[in-house]
Amino acid sequence: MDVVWVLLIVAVIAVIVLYLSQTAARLDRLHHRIDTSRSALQGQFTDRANEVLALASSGRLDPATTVLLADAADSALDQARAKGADFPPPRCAAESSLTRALEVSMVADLVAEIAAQPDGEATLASLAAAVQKAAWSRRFHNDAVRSCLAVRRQRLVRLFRLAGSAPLPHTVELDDEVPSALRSR
Amino acid sequence: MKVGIVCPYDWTSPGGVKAHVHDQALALQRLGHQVSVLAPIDDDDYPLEPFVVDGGKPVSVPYNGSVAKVNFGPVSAARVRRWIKEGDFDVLHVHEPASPTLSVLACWAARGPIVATWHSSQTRSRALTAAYYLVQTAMEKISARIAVSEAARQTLVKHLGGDAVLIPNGVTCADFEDAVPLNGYPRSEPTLFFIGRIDEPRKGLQVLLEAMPMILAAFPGTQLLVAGPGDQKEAVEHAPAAVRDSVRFLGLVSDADKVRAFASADLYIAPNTGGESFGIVLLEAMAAGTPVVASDLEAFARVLEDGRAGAMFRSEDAADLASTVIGLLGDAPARRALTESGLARARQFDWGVVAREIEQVYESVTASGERVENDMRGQFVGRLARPRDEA
Repeated sequence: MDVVWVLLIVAVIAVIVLYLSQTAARLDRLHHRIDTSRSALQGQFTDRANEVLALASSGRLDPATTVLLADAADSALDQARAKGADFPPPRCAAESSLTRALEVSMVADLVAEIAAQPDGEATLASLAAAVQKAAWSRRFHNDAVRSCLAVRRQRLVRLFRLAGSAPLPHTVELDDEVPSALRSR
Repeated sequence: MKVGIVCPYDWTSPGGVKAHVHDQALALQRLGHQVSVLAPIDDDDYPLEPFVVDGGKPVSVPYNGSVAKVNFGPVSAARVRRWIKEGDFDVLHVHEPASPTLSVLACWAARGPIVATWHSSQTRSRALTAAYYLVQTAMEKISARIAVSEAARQTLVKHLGGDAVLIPNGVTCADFEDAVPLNGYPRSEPTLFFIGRIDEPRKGLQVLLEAMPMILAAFPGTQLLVAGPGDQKEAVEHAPAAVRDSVRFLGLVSDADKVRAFASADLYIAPNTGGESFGIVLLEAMAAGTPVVASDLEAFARVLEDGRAGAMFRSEDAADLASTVIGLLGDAPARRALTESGLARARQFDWGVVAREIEQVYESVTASGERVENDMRGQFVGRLARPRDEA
C-alpha cells in the first residue's frame, strides 16, 4: 500500500515539475517576443518621426505646417533618444501629439497638393507606410504584452516565481491613428 | 525577403483560403520576394506551381461545419519542421492558425517572426476557447495577427483576446479587365448573373428566383445566368414555367469562364442571406466592370461602401430586389456610374495594394533581424515528434 502511495506522489510531483518547466519555457518565449516587439516599436516610431521631419524640411509645405510638424517630430525624437526602447508617459504624450499634428495638417487638400508635386507620390507613400507601420507595431507589441500578462497572472506561476526577476511588462497606450487622408496611399 | 506561407487546406481543390494564398504568393513575388508555399496535396496529378511544396496527402475531416481536407499528426509535423529548416525564411506566414492543420503545426514548430491571417468568422467558440495547452503555446508565438474582415477580427478578438490588424482580401484586377463575353453575349435583352452553390440556402438563389416574375414582367426576355454546383432541377422545381425558361445553368465554371460570365451580364446579383464575412466575389464583379446588386448584409455594405459602389436591397426581400433590378435595367447612365465607382472600389483591393500592406507587416516584425527557426523548447510532445534525421 505504501509503495502505491509513494509512486502516486512521485507521479504527481513529476507532472507538476513537467508543467512548471514547460510554463517557464513558455514565459521565456513570451518575454523574448516582447523584447523583439518592443525594439520593433522603438524603431518604427523613430522612423515615423524621421519621415515627418523629412517632409517638414522638404520645402513642400507652407511655413506654418512646417513648424508644426517639425516641432512635433522633434519632440518625439528627443523623447526617443532619452528613453531608448521605453515608452513612459512623456514619450507616449509626445507621440500622441505628433499623431495629432499629422491629423490636423495632413488634410485631403494638402495631401492632393503634395501628390501633384514632383516625387510627391513617393514622399506621401513613404510617410503613409511609416505611420501605418508604427501603428501596427504598437498593436503587435500590446498583443505580446497581453499574452504574457495572462500567463504571469496564473497562481502557480506567481507561487513558483517562474517569471524570475523579469519586470511586469506593460502595454503602450498612445494615439497613433493614421490620418484618413493618408490611408490607402 | 524569403517568405514561407502555410496553406491549411488542400491545394488541389478550389476554396477561398487556397485562392487567397495563391494570389498572395504571386503578388509577393511581383514585389520581388522569394515565396515558398507549404500545402496539403490531395490530387497527385495537379500541376503544382513551382513555389508550392508538398505538405503531404490530406484526409477529409469534419471541421467548422463542413468537410475540410487537411493534414496533421507526427508525420506532417516532421514535414513542417523540415520545410522550415530548409526554407531558412525571414518570415513565416500561416493562414487560419487555429485550425487543426499544417498551420498550427507550423506555429508550433517555429520561432521567430510569425504572421498569421484569420479568415473565418464562424469558427465555433468552444473549439477555440477550450484551453488547449499546445494550441495556446502555438498562438502565443504569433508576432502579428491579421484579419481579412471586420467579422473575422471580431471572432478573433472574442476568442483569443488582444487585437488584429485589418488587411482585406485582395482581387487581382488585371485578371478581370478586358474579358471577352461568353459566345452569344451580350444579348439584346438584359442578362443577370448569379454565382454560388445553388442548393445552399444562404447563397440566396431562391430569393432571386422569387423576384424573377416581377423582373420578367417589366423586361420580358431577361435571362438569368446561374453558375455554381448543385442540383439544377431541384433549384427551379417550385418556380413558374416562365421563370424556369429564363434560367440558364452553367454548372461549376472555371475561373476563366467566371470572368467571361461577368462580362456577359448587365448586372451581377448577390442575394446572399447570411454567412458572408467578406464578399470577394462582389469585388471580382466590380473589377470586371459589372454593376453589382447585393443584399444589405454587413459585409457587403462594407465592400460596397453602403451602396456607393453597388446597389443594395433588403436581404431576403424579393420585391425590393426586383424593384432595384428593374430600376437599374431601365437606367443605362446609372449602370455606367456603378461600373465606374465599382472599378475604382475594386482597385483599392487590388492585390498589388494589399500585398504592399502585408509587406509592411513583415517589415514591422522582422525589424530585429531574427529569422524563422525550428523551436521545440518547452514542448514535450514536440520533442517526441522530432524527425529522426534531425535528432
